Amino acid sequence: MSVAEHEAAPGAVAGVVLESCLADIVEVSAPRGCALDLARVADSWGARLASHGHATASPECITICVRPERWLLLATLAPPGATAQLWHRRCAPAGVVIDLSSAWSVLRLTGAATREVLARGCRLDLDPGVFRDGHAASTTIAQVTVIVAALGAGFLLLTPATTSRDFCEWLTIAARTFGLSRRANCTLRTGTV
Amino acid sequence: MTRGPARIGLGLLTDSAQSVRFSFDGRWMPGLAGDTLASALLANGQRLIARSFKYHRPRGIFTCGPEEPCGLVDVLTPGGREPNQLATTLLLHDGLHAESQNRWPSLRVDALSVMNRLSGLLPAGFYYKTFMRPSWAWERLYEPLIRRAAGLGRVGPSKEEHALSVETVHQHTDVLVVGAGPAGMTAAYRLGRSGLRVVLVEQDVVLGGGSLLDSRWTPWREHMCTLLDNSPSVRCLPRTTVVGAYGHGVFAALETPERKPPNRTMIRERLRIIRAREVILATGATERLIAFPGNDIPGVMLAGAAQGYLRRYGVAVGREPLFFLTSDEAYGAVFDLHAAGIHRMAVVDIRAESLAAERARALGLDVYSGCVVNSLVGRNTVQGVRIAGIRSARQVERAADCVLMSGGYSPNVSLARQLGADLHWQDDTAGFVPTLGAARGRIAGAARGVIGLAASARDGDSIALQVATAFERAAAPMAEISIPADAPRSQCLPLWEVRGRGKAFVDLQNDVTADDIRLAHREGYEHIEHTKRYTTHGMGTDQGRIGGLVGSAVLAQARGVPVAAVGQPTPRPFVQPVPLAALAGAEIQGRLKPKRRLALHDWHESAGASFVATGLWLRPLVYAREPGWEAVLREARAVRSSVGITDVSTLGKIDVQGPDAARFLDFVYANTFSTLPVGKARYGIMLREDGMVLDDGTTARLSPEHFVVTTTTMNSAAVLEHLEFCLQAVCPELDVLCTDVGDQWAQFAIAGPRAREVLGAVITGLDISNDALPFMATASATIAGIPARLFRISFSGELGYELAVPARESLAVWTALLEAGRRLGIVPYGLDALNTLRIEKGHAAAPELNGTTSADDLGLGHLLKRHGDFIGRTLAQARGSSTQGRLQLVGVRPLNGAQQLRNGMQLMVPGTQTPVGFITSSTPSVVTEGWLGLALVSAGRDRMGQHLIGASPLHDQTTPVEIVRPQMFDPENARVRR
Repeated sequence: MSVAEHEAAPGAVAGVVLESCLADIVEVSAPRGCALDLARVADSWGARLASHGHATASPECITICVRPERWLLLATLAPPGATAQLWHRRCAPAGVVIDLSSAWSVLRLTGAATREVLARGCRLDLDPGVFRDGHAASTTIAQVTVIVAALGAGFLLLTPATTSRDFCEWLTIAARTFGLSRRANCTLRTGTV
Repeated sequence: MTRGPARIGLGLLTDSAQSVRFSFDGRWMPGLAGDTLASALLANGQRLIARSFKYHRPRGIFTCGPEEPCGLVDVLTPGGREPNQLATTLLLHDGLHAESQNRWPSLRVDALSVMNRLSGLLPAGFYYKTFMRPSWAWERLYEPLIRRAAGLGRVGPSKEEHALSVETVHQHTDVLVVGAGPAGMTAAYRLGRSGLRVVLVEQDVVLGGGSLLDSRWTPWREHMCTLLDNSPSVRCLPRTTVVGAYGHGVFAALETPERKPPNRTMIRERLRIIRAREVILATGATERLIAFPGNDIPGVMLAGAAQGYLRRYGVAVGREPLFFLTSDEAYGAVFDLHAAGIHRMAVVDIRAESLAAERARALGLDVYSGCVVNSLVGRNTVQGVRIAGIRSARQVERAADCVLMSGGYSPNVSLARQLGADLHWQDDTAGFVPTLGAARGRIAGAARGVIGLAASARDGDSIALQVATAFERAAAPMAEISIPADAPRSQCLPLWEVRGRGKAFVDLQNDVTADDIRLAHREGYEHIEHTKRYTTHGMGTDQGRIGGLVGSAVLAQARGVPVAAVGQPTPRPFVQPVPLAALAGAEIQGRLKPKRRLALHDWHESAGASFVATGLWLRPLVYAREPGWEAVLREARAVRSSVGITDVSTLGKIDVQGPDAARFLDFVYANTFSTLPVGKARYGIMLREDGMVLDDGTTARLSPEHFVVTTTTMNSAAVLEHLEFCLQAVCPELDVLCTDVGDQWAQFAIAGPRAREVLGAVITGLDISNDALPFMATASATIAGIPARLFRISFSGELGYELAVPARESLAVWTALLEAGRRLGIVPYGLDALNTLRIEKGHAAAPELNGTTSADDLGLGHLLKRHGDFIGRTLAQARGSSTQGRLQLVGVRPLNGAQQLRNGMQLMVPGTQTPVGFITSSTPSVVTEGWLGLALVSAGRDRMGQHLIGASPLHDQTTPVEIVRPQMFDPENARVRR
């Protein structure tokens, strides 16, 4: 039986909605002793750097911190390299900026069954009372590295671009009993996600 | 009648309005929705269900739940044959096909039932002491015959894709409550009221446990189910069995969801991995058997099972039952059957008197107090019983169509034992009860020897309060629910065995008799663990749940010690059979491991590439689907003669930045990078602490404090880990940031004499002439409008460039390059052609960087810097890393060029049999006829021009070869500098 046959029947309300988001991603790191300066600089540009294990959304971008003094900044799509250059100009010398727009695939998972679906492969406790809005973590789901961030009504999932196809296939299988609706090339929603 | 002749009333679980049809051994029968296969068979009067494992004795249904030892069947589905399904838990559905097992030619006439007559030859452990002569016959005759006769069920090929019908779910909770009887339900409700997250797991299809068998408890059960359903923090999981307890709050549970059409719910098995901060084991107790001659004949079953079939499914297991009991609790079955209109019954109670016996007599039933069932009348089904007084000479023979026995109740201790519980003997229940430190878990209700449903409910509440207190939660007000009082009871009296002529089984699934236990004792297997393994007692899928303690008691009697001194075998996961497919989950076959795909994977596929798995990567091997070297050589020749392009995005790429980046690279590489000018790249080797080569690759300096390190495909993760380790643990004083940018950059190599022409057509803003961008130079550029990095490096030995572009933009750049090279005949080339080119050039790769080679072995000793420290320096410069006898990298050519070389070929000096080395890589030559290869040969550099014999015993091939320099093509390296 093919995977497609398990997807939600036409007209049925899907338990989860999987969106592939178009986004630019840069990693901003603080050289030794520069973390506070970097936070101030970023804040002045409308990017509130999340504390470790958290994600924040602002109108300018989403920041996720799953490594000490390193942040992923997710912003809406711009010409190749432009976002990295912009943030390089803004942050230097307090921060080192590396373009990772092609390195990660950005997915957004929403719907009533989101946590149930993720529990098919994610060992983290994603209960809303434990992994609260604004929490983020790096973990392994279906043998693939995934950064999970609870933002607003759903989860933002970042997975290496080279394994994202496998991960999406896994999500489709994991969601088969709930119904999955897929949307491609969605715009990343910053601000209130 | 469409519901079966033995269906005498309404069951709690059956829907009398919904009939289904099923077949057993080809015979179609009616059943009801909600039936199990066992209840439907019993409703249809089908008593003979199976043949026993060893003696092929006729067997019927013995229990009403997962502890069933006899009722195993094959289920035939469109997806294949599934053996060993428990009839007592297998839910009936329309069109179910079941077959009996372990019989030939039929269930009623089984040729191998002759085993029963030969049982004198087949005592416990017979295969250790009989069938020994003649010695040749064991392997050729006896063992094959025994294997063929043994076993239950037949495994058929599955046509279903099982991976799609199983799944694994991770679950977290504050408290896991195992068992939803009165104790478990009360505990779960109490904890839910305290605001704790609770998972309540129940193996049955409905909640209730023992309360299902007592009609007085129906209102309580229904009320409690409603309360639990409405508790937002309580998750009830029926049809789920906790099969293993692993410590640190980790439990494995197997759920078998109800399969309903259409496809939305089609999960066969769901393995739940539950992590709980606290656990309450309310696993209840299991009724046990009594070993008496003929206690396995169809029609003999546990008293509680008969009560279960009546209450749950409305099925009377007999019209003239005889109860054989040892406790008041078991009388519930007597009273229920009597109330259902079965009045021709009698009770044999081993106790001289009891309160329950008095009640039975008051109903007009015959009660034989102080008696036992001595033996049965009937061979294939129960026709009567012989009753004997224990302390009197009383002998009675009485007609009966079934014997419903109860030897008492044993607390279910498996999970508690897995958590480290100690067992203590409890006279009140004549069983072992567990004690467990609160840090490991808590036990409630019948699982810890509490007798009575009301007492269990109160115990569950009390334990829940302890747990809530441990979580510092206040006791929340509970709904007022009336609990029926437990009836006054008389003390139970243990009875393990009634000795007499005939087989008295202590383990019905493995055909282990009380005599087998005594035999094991006589032969020296005195410890219960030894007895278990010698007799196979308790080793079946039922894990000896109904007869395990009886076996211990028989052994205790043989040893002349109390049962408490014998104990019980150690239970280990799993407490019930778990399908391997459920353990494997969905990550099997094509989904066994994830695949990393290149950004241009789809392009390569559409271009006809065959892919090869390199670690997790799928790499284009050759752009042809047909096997053979022709396509590979065609691609490689294009590179040598004109131009080719290949996708090398799988190379590891690590961004190294910081004020100390150059110092750091000097330390982790054996050669120097601090002297590398900005805009240049340098080949480097990285050593392990033991001096052996870890990895190699080029590193480019993009700015004074910014480098990009490339690694081999296979070692990218290991190198990044190594660098992070060094920064954290070896040189923490250095201010350096390492970032994996492997997925960010797609990287293409354009190689061949005309590579510059192709690149020149698409690049803007950069002079790429030899003077402006010489060999090993690097620069930023714009290619096809995309910002890119350009490196003038070459792995093929030709004029070459590697260009890195953001992977998301790679298709535009790749197609622009192909378009630009079309008039020059540019071809994409795969990993095989790349390998061919590098072997010819003498470049080491994974087969040579095998973890045992030093820099000197690879001819790279000159790269080790003379001044300054680096990882691996001490041992790399030790004599042992460069002694003459070490295997050194050389080239090899067959003397007869047409003869094939093979990887792994052993190289020997002619006239000797001792290998002096082996071929690591081989290929047909691109530019000349014949084969060539690289090899690691002892003192290889001293053997230039020497002839050796290459031998591949696997291929029955010997090939004379000549040792040559590794650089077999353009040794002056002139072509890369053009």
